[in-house]
Amino acid sequence: MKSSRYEITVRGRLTDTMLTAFDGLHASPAAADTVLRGEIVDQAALFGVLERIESLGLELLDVRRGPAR
Amino acid sequence: MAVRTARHATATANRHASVPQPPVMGLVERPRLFDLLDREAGPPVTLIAAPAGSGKSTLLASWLRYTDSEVCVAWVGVPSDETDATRFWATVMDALRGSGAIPGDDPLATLTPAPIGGDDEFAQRLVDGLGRLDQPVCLVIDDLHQLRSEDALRGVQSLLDALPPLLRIILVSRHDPKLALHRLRLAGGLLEIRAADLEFTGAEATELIAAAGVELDAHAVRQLRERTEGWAAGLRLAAMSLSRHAEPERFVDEFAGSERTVADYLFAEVLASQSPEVRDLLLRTSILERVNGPLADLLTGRRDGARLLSDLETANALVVATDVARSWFRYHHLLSDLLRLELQREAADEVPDLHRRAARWLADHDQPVDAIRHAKLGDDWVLAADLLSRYWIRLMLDGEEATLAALLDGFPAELVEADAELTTMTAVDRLFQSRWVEADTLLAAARRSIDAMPSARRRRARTALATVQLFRARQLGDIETVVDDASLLLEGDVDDGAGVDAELQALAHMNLGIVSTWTFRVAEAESHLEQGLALGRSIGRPYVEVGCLIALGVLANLTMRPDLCEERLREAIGIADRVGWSTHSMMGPAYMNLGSVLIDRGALSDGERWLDQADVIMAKSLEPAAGVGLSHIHGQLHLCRRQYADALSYFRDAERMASQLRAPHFLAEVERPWQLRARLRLGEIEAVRDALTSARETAAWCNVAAMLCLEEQDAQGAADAVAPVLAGEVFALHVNLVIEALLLDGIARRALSDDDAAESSVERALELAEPHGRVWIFLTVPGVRELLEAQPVHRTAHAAHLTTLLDQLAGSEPAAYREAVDQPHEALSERELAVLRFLSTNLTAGEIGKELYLSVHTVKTHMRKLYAKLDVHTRAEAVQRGRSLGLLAPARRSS
Repeated sequence: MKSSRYEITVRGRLTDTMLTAFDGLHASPAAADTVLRGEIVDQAALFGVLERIESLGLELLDVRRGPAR
Repeated sequence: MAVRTARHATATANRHASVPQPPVMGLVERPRLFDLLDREAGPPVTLIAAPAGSGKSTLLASWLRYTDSEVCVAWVGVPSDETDATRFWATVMDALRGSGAIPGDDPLATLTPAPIGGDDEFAQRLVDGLGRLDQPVCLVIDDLHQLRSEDALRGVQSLLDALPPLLRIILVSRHDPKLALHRLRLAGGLLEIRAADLEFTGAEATELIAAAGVELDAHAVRQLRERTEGWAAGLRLAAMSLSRHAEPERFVDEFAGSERTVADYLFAEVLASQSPEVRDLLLRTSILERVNGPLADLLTGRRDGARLLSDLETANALVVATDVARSWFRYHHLLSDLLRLELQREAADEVPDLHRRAARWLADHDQPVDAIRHAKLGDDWVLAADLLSRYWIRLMLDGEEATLAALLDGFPAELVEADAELTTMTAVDRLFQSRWVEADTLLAAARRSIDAMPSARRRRARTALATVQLFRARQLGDIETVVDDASLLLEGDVDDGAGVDAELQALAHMNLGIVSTWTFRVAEAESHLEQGLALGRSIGRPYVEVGCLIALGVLANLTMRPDLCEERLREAIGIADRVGWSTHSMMGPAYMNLGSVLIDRGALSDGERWLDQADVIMAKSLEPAAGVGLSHIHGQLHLCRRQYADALSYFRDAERMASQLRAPHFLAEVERPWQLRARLRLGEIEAVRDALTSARETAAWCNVAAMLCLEEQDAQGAADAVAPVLAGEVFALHVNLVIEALLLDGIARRALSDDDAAESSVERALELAEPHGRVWIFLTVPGVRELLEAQPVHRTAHAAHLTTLLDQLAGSEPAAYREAVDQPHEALSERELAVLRFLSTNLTAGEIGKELYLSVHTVKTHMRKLYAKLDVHTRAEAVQRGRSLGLLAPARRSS
């Protein structure tokens, strides 16, 4: 299974502290939200990220797969 | 609202460090939601599903505190990443027992998860048990989303499906669980409380702010509520900051205007506003699941831990006490997650050391699982390996193999290879997963690296490895190679090793005893098993108790002591029933041997019932050798019932299974002569004659030869064939074979008109059979009935047994011995008993008197007395009653 690029949007702007939880992903603001972008190695890792979002009480807005490399 | 008394579980001591208790906190009451939960005759299942920080657990905890219901509460908090179903159920049991819901004499009080080859029916037993409850119980499962075991979830599902009437289940989770709730929902059996319900309303928000001692105008409260969207964690974090803020309204304004996530913003604020000591404490202790004063001090290097924690809890912060004594605390999940992230950001290089310090403290304070987890996180593999090797046997005996697997996970490969104990543990893990080849490879590797172990651990490592190898040998039926290895490794007394704890000793004794049984090292076996039994009893390990008792029973059976066998096995079965292990695979040999003993005594129906139970278990048996024995006993049963085709088929199965074992099994050779007996009855004379052309080395073969002769009307040939057995010149595996030979001799002698010799042989047969009431073999030899009927009753010393045999041959079975429900009003005296036994013969009172050296008058007096005691009026009735009470056979123990 090849890794893919993902773009995950959560509500609100994340500070550095919270960003530490998303090692390997790059965060950029988008209006009042934050988009996390990066290579995610497989489905298990993807669900791991989603679980992280859930455990931090963040609101998940969007999950999108970017163009494959 | 009036303060109502709550009913909490008083925690009883349990094996797990975290006491199942609702979090203790005093907070805002939310009557709106309390009403939902309080509904009389409401739905039996409640699901509270909402994201982190929504206030789920808090709601429940405060509701439980203020409700005045009579309901017992069992609170189970699932720890993070729980992969072990057994551990989960053990916690559920502890919580239920602690809640006071289970009466002391109910099987649930002693229900224990079954270790090492146990069944997966624990949940089912629990469900059944809960159906027996006679008072309402509320079972709360908090953090259900952290339960990762499919088995455990299936168990929870079966609870939901069964819905015992007085049980109320409340599930708390961050997301909808993997459970089928639709049916419940449709039937109106599900109460759902979701994020929208949990959102604080304006009024509730006002109350919360006020309760925190903050003065805020209505507009600001509204702003706050809007910004947080009523999210509980947000409101509480805000309240924390507000209580210290000089200008609360400004704080709210800035907060409302920020785009940062609520959690992020408020958390940063809260942290920034704490004193340096508190901040430091919060960050350093965030690595722990739970924290107390001493542990906090260890990590901060100061002495104020207990006070600070207590203050934090009182300040209604997100710190919660987990025990009634309020000495242990944990942070709200969200807070600890954020704290950990902050710690990582600020002082990543200090984190491993914190883990290491925590590991040592937890190890010293009897919390090995958490200690190991922290040691691993702190990269202290040496400590982790040492702790794990001291604790893993206990995990196995608790049935928590999944926890063992989780703890083993992550050890560097080179470390595992170099450490014989770790290798052994990994091998055990593979065994549990049925990865046999890997397991055997690992065991071989462990053998090679054992001498490289540090001397302090070598003894224990040796004992552990030997024990596992013996266990594996049992699985394979491969005795020879492994027994030698094991003895070598153990090098003498199991108990003289320092550092070998009781659990390991007990298991070592048990396994050594069992394997010694197979090689007929009787004294050795008994010694090990008795030691194992005593040890198992003293450390409270029913697995060892039951295992040793079963092995002792089997040994007793093999050494011709069926009464002792029955005693041991019934004790083992009793214990197993008490803890709920009746269908554990280890029970197979127990049921099988008990069935065999009962069948031998002629109690065919009772014996068959036990065989049926053995059949159910053998499907998942760990011991293929036992399957051989079971088929053989089935064959024997069919033989005496004259179902010869079935008997033959079973004996053939037994032979086939025996030949598949790795090492020769003592039953393998035995099957052939038994097959021939069946074939003879089926009329296959030629085939039997052909098979007999080879040497007759054992009694079993001699007897078949004699049977063939009798079939061919060659009485003299028959007598000659069994002569070596009678003379003791050939090996007889079982006394039944000697009895059989004597009976065959009797039949042959009668045919040769040598009545004296016949009578003498029969008498000898009765003599051998009576001590243990052996009946079965008599039922399998054709022509025995006429033979016994011809035996002069007044000249036999074994009248009672003879009568019993004749009865059975006539078709009636002995009544169940121990299952006899009624007892005589008064016990009979020795004399009365002796007279009763003669009543079953056709001797007159005078003749009985002659036998017992009593006058006729005395005999009649005894008869009158015993009739009265047995509540009967005639001799026949007395005999019948005496038989049903098991009084007629002298050697049998009455209950």
